Amino acid sequence: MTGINGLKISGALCLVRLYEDSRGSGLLPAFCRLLAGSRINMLFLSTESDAGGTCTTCCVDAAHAALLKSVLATEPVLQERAEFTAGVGLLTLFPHRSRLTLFGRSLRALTQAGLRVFAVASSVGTLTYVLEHAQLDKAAAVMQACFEFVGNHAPFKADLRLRREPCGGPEAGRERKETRAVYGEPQIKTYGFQVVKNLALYSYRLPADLPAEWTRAIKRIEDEATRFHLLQAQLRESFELDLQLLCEPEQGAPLARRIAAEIPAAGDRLLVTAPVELIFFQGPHFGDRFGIADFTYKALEEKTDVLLAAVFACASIYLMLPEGAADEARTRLAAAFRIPG
Amino acid sequence: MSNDKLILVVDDDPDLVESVSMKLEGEGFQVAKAYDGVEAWDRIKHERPHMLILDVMMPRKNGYELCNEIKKDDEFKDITVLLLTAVADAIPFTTYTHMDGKSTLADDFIPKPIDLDNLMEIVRDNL
Repeated sequence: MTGINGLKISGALCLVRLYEDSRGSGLLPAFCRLLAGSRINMLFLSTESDAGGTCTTCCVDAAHAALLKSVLATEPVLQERAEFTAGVGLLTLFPHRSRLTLFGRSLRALTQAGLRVFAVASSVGTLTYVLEHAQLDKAAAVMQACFEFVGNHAPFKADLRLRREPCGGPEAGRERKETRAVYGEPQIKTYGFQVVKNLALYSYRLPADLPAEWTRAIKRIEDEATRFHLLQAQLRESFELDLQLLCEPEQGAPLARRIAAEIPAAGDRLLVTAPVELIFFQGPHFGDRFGIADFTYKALEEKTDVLLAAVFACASIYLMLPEGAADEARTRLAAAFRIPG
Repeated sequence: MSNDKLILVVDDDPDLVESVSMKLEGEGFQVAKAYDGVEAWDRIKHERPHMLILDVMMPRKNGYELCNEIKKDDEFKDITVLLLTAVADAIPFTTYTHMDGKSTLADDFIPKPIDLDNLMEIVRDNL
């Protein structure tokens, strides 16, 4: 049994899907700006583009759903492109070590347990699934049966609280647990930017209920040494998962061959985009803070229209760009964010 | 480069644990990981690391508490503890202060966000 270090499950969230007819319509940056202006944090955001347009899946705290709907009502163009699903939550597994083992086994196990996967995305160390909130305990149990956890691991449901009251405020003197920092600096800090070039993006469209041949195909690849840089999938209206794997071409090509060996028709469901470039970075509690996505899109300015995909998950941000675009994007980001050292 | 020193990285942010671990492994260190203070104490007892890179704000047992327990324990007090502290000007209101940190007898302090190259220097200086 494969060992992993930990698992976290979130509280109740609201999923928002945003559809754009074309990449670079500006809707997503406008959406992020709206959320930042209302101090609504996005705990998860995954966006991918194809010829049919751009699909974004994001999650906000359930307590912010009403506020989000009310601010969206002031922007009819955004409102008509947004679709809400209440009662979702995040299941975060770690670490993935850039191998497909964690993804393959967890996806197979969740699907076989009849759990609906709305989205999944990787960060530097984690794999985060968006599932039905009411099914998170079941999902955690499925993962415990699937993986061996270290002893005395951190609780799956962490008792995390933010302390927002000033020391002399009305809550002063009251015993409060503080486990997360609340950041307020105008220039957001990051640990620095990583750029990877000459990558290949493998986009698969697979049935979300994973019929037997897809289950076999995934089982076939999960113990291989294939390493990925980014992995994300979103559930489409057609009840298909759009899976994107960003790999070195020499890693991705054998992977595609192994899937094709199991599913001869898989080639019809595969789109390869190469070369592409990737920028990724992380910062303290990026996942807990509102405005990170907005800050990132503002830094990129009009260059957001070239983004092929973006993932904001856990404390990491991944931006996928076409060949030749990463250096300029990094320059813009470096001018906006503060890098220590 | 190989190094037989075991370093335990403790933070409730799995992405930070992973990026620090990868950097340390790249420098040849052995790495263990924990995601809160209670889990870290367990690892310390079982794996006896040479050094802890320890976050402050964590569920169950925070970094200050763990650092104090280590430094008061005759068996483990020689473990080098580097405290990761984000209690700086960016955080307007917090119960954790630098004064609290200084009183923990930690061996060194590393401000968040971490400069990974700087972290490696601090690690080498303290081992």
